[in-house]
Amino acid sequence: MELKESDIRKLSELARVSLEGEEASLLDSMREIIGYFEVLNELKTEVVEPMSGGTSLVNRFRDDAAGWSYQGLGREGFSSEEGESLKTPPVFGESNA
Amino acid sequence: MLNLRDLTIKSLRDGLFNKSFSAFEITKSFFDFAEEKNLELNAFLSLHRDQALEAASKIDVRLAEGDDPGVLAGVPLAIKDNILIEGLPATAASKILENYHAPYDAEVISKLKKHGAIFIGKTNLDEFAMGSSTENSAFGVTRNPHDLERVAGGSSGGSAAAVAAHLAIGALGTDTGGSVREPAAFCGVVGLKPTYGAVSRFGAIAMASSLDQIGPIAKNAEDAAMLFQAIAGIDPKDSTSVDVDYSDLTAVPDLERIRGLKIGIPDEYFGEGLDPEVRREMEKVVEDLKSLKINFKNISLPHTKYAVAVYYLIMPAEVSTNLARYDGLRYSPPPRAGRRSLLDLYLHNRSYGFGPETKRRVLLGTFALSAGYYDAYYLKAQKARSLIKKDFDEAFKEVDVVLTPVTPTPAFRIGEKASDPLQMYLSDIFTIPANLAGLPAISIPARGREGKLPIAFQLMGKHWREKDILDIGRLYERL
Repeated sequence: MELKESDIRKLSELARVSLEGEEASLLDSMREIIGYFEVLNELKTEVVEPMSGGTSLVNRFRDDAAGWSYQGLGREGFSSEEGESLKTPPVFGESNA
Repeated sequence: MLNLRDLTIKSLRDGLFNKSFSAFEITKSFFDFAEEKNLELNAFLSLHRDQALEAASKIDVRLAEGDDPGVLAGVPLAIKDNILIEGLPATAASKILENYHAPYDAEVISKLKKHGAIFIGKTNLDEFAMGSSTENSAFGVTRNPHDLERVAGGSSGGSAAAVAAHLAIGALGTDTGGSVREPAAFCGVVGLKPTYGAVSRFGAIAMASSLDQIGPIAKNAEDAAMLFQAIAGIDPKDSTSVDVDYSDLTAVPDLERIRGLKIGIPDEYFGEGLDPEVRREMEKVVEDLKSLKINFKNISLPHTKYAVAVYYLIMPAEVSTNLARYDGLRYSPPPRAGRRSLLDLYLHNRSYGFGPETKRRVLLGTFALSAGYYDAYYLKAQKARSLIKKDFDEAFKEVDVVLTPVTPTPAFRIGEKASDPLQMYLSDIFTIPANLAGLPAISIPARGREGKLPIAFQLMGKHWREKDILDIGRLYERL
């Protein structure tokens, strides 16, 4: 398939990354890279099972037991607290932190 | 003056126990050297003298009390900046994590602390470990200690350069498609990618989770074995980690046992595109190993040519998923004025926080996973991955270890491939297959290249058989 600039814009929207003047160079390199993937069409894979992980491990569970947790770590990264809540700078508008 | 060049983990331990020097003195010497040398190399993104000297003093106290502070007591290590150390920065060389300080230790760091290791600093990498040259770092390229105009490799370029230039005795890197082995090869040091599942990734910033492994970089194979043994093991916090007995890993290699192994040479790794000098070095390595009466056999890994395409579909798919969590709100706030909505803010923050290669991979992954293309690209790649693994399953019925080059060429010039991402990707051809198949693989510098750019060979072993490749490496180094 031939990637179009509108595809790049759509992908950037889906990926939550705005592109500021980078569309053209990304389009060129991604066309070349996706073109290279065509080599896989030489392979007959109808009866091949996909490999989805690095090992053949299946569902490993740990005991559902309460223990030490990481809750509370990282508090020093916050500028202020209110009750049991950590206060962050406002998401919209200028940061005061 | 201590000669930092000659120190290995073993000789440092000997020196500490026979009181030739203290852990404090060693640590201070490393900092005195590293702080100056790093201005030239940019191997470290941050150096942490105070914490390291404090830890070293505690080691000295324990030694004075007749205690054994652990097998890595006083060993100064460099840690890739995508591995968390409590209280220290962990930027993953990305602007989006520029102000992040880790609130806890990665499992490998907890283990190294228990063994008495000292952390000199956090090393440079390609942003989120995505690259083969450390040129994708948001904080500048790392230079190769053998030629400052050349790359140190990547993504663990800072870790490899730090060990090669004697700024640390050993290091940790992460290896998703060759990111420990390739920089080790370019810098002339040893790099081990363990079997997938051998080392806990808890506290390592995830890139592509079906491929990532943490591995050691060291001056020789014996040191690599010691570091690997210290960090290996099952961890309930990483459900992909596995309980394997590695207790015999550091024992003296048994040449008779190694003579009973067979090394395979795959035709597909010695075709067009291999630099003639690399080819000549590989022939010399094989001759050297044959002089130890180790047996060789020619083999075929027929799906090798598909590995780069498979990897550059599966990895970005996992990258786009793993990096979806970064909103840029806490650790790298760009100006927020004028943002109209939360979506607008995300789009803006991630554009500001991610570099060009990260954006390219996030977009490629989003493409590979999107409805309409999933079957044709992502699922196809997963199936081809099975075929690549099957090649190794078949080969390992005939041989115990596979020998190949690590890279098609020695270290390239800074900027040489930066504008051509596909060429950069293709340079990973020899290291990617071990990640796709989950195999252990080691990069060992070819002997006798003093004054020239390093060239390295790779040994890939069966799952959980790090001992085979480490022992062959140790026997080769003694020649």
